[in-house]
Amino acid sequence: MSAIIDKPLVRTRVRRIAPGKLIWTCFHYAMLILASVLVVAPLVIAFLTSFKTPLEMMRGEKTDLPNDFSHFQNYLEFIERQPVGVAFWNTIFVTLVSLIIVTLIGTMAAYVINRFRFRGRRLILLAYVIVMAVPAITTQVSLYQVILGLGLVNSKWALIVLYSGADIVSLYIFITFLSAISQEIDESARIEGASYFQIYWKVILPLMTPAISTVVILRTIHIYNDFILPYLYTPRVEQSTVSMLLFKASDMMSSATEAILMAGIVIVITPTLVVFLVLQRQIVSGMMRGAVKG
Amino acid sequence: MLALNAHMQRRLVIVSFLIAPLSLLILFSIWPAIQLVWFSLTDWNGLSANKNFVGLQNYHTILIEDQALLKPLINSAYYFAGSVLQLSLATYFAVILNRKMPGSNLFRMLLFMPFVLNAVAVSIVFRDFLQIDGGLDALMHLVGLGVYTREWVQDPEIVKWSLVFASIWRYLGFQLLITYGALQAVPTDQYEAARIEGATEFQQFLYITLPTIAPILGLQLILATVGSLEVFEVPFLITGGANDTKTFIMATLEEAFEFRRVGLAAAMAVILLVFVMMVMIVQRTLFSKGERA
Repeated sequence: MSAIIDKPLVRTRVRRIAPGKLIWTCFHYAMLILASVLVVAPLVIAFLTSFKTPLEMMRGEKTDLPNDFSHFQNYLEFIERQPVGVAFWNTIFVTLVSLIIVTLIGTMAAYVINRFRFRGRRLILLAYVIVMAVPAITTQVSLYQVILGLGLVNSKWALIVLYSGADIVSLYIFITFLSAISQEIDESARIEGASYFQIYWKVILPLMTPAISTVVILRTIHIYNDFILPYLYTPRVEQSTVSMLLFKASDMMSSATEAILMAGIVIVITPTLVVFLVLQRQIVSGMMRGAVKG
Repeated sequence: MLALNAHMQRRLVIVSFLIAPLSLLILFSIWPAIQLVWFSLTDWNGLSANKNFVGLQNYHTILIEDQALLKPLINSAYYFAGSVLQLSLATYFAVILNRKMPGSNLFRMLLFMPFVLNAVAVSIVFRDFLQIDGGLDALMHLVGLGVYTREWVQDPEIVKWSLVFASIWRYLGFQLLITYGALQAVPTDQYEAARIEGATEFQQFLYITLPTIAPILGLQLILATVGSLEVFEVPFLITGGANDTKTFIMATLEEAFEFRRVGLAAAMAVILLVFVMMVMIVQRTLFSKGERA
């Protein structure tokens, strides 16, 4: 009985709703496509520009395709005129050393703060919470004097100590992750006679691999893309990262050399895009974990 | 190691594991914060050996005498308006992408992409995109909107909104991602039940989705408020502060590093810090109330 009534009902509902729903679906897709075009267009145009000859730059529209996608003259000129190799080497060096320091001291601090109850522990936690609330950009005025006092202005070590020393989000990620790992694992290792150092090195550190990879992803993206610290502390490209390379290049170049500058931009962006496409899933989940820190 | 008794070993591990992170915390975070407050009470120029204590003179200068110093703070209003728009757009896109339409993952990835790109690179790309006869104009001509082109960066009426657009371009995908994450917490059987009851999609959004993600949206709004006080990279790299687009952070750094008025700059930074802290405190009280309810 009910089956007989149900069937026509379902059918009429589908018929009645379908046209409206179709219009909405079309609208949603139109919005998504519009947004995606707006996101991609500036990058695509920069990419096209990087292959254009001076003549094409003068005559054609920005949206025109270049005549020849194997016209690498702009790339060669950018590499020739700018210290590209040095900037990339500095970026890699700063990133690697910072990551090692962040991982080591971050996991050590997380281990002690999460697993031990000692005098001053609450004070340390409070200090971290307060410092996390202070936006880093406001203290640059006085932080600069500290770096100056250490003789690190214009040295890539300034970037390394700041990327690893003033990073509290990573510590937060480590502590959150560690507090989800059962203490019983430590205790059974303890019963078997392991020292605290051995527990950290052989038990805790390997267990924290997922948190470490999150921190590695977040920090690498941050260091590669950051502008403010290189701008303030390593104004000379010889000691600085790719951000400063582009900043200096854009300063020196005019509209006549625009295509060369765009080639430089493609050189800097491409590694990130490749890594982003390969590690998309990990980057997205890492970002989500790191973002909801408040 | 075996010679140490358990108590000694415990103490040793605590001290040795904390000494490096704590000294870095003190040296690069706590000490500069204390220094900042001290500098703000002096007339220091950043170079000379002696700093003269001037009391609250710098604060008096900024807040009362020289109102031009506070003026860049008005620009934050544009970014705040922009971030409200950005949050609405992000929520809209997150909700429709959450319906798992074909191509959802591709769109999500495309919209998120600008966030992982180098700040200087995308700013130069944007500077080029917005210039007269630049990429945006060419694109508008291409789709028949050529008559609506403007001087996006040169016109003082428009440039602030152009910068807001650049900022939304960069951060929309990130916000989308967070909202999208929050949406995963909405139980799907509720939608099922609502659909059987005949609720429209908008009603489903209003009565099921919105209440669930409201705390995350609130948090993002607070972060957006703080963020609009701290805008630096986008305007600095695209206009360099020309055409009245200077932000408060830009003015502060300029005072400190170009005009060498470190004392004054420190006071500006402290004022900004107080603003940010006030927003944070509002957030804490609002959220703790929400938890209790």
